[in-house]
Amino acid sequence: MSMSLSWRDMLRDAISEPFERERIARAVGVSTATLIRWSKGISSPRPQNLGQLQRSFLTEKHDEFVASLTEEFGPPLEVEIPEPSALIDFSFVRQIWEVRAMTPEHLLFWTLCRKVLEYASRQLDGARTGMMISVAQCIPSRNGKVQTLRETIRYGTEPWSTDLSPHSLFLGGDSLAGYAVSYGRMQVIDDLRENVGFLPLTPLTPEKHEVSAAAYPIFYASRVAGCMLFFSTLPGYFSSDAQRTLIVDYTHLISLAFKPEQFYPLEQIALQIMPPLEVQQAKFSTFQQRVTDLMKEAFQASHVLTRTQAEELVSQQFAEELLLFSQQNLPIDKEIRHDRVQSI
Amino acid sequence: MTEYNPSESRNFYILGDSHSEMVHLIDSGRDFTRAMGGLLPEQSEEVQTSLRSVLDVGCGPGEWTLAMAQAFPDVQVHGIDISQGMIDYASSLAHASNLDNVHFRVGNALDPLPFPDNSFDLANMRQLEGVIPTASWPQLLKEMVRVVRPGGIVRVVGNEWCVSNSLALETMHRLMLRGWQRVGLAHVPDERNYGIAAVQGSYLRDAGCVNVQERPSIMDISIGEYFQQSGYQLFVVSLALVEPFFLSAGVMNSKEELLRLQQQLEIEMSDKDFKSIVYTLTSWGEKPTDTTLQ
Repeated sequence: MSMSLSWRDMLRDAISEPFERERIARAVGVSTATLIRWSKGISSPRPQNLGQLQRSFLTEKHDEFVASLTEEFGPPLEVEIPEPSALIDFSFVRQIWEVRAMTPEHLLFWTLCRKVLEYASRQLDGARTGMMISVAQCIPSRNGKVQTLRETIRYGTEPWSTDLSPHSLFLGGDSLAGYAVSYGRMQVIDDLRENVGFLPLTPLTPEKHEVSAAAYPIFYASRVAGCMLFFSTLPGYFSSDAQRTLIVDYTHLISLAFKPEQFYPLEQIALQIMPPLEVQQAKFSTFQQRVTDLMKEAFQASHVLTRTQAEELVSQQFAEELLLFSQQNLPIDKEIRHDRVQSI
Repeated sequence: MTEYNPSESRNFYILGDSHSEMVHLIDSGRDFTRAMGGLLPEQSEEVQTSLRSVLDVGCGPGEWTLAMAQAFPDVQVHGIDISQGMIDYASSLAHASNLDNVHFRVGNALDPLPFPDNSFDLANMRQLEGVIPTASWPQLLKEMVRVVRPGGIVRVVGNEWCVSNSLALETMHRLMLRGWQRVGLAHVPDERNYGIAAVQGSYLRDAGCVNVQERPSIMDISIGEYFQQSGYQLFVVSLALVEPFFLSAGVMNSKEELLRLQQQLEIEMSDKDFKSIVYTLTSWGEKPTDTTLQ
């Protein structure tokens, strides 16, 4: 007669192989030592660890494992997305006011955005299922119209890279960010996998971890400076009222990083279609060198040109070149499908 | 920017405690953890599975402390730092992360640590060169040994700056070290190295630790390498924040001089030929038990 194994026994078997031990630990967001303690019964997972532990257990005993976990910890296991509090802690809001009041101008945008992104990712992704947040900013053209957006700062948690460098991606009117900015309201996509071929779903990263997404415009005095983008590894992540309230509130907070002249009336927003990620990436290999060359020229002429200023100038040049590429290469009858995006 | 005035504030930290520095410390702390191979890469599985309580001295905004609490949810992790602003931010992040096993409090590492004897399984101190005056290290290490249980670990992680082919970065390095000499933060008698790597092990032994061991690691911040952006932020932001220290220590005469160095640094660290590595040493030892003393 065979004895049924407990989830601790099954975990012990699974993590006896070092690679698997590392993989499960990374997926759950704990140390390998913690997994060993759980397997030995020295300690137990916390509620926020249970969903990820369940999802990361990939052997043929997955169903038995889940049944045993459920037996010990109860049925709430199927609730995979813990609902965050819909409020931002007031002490954090006060810190952001202080950042705006006290930070020198050349460090203000970076400091304020990084603080908000760090805090927002922790609150919005309490179960550490993976989240990426980025800021896309309006790039004005020489005719005064905003024809494209550029991603200027991003922050991701596992499985995304925590690499903080913006990928300088340009987003057009056919992107989720473009929709949010053009229409001046929140846009949500519940499952990007069901929308193959739909341009707003083009992943922002080559890793393609994005499953659901939301975007909300950055406003000041009814004008817009760009938008915040939120991506999750899970479907329907941004469907709850609490998540959407937080998205709006964090975007309002991040608006404090921008100067009034960086906001544009909606009538001036005329976003165009930008080339796909692969085309842009090929071109971006020269972006940083052009920024550096511009700074060198200014330095040799004893002019002060900050990296931010140099990046703005090169961004405008790139935007024009990419728009020209689009006009020459994209089919004229390209259709923008609006049916899979929820405007809120 | 606030003035650098350690004799009044008893805070020797050369980059101050602005919000920019909080963000900078969170980012750079995360990158150093990754470059080192994890939170406690040098500790055996046996040590890690036996942890119940951990102390992080000079925790700043709590990057390592929070990550430990996250990775070890059944371990109580305590962080202490002189800056109220850093502790407020660390507490905010703990709240947002829904972590209830991490505890922050304000305290100066130059004073006796506010914990009873034998309270922790491991006491950590990471990258506090540039924060703790040279003369205070022996007493601080003794305090860390005091609050760790017999058989527990005292761990010190220090950086030895970097080597690079950037004149601006090397100039910044030289100015930093000159300033350190002037305010009593240096561990060697000239301006070429911090010297912390040479003395960490002996500080631990002098404080009473046994089985002292060491492990080096590097962070390659050259153009095209994984940590390129991290290195860029690390030094460009540090140079933007170090102005009060440079002016107070008298190693730079004018803001204009600093502005020009900042511009030069940004250009050289973005150049396609830029090469540099930052090197780090982890030293750790055990508090003796009755058995190890025999």
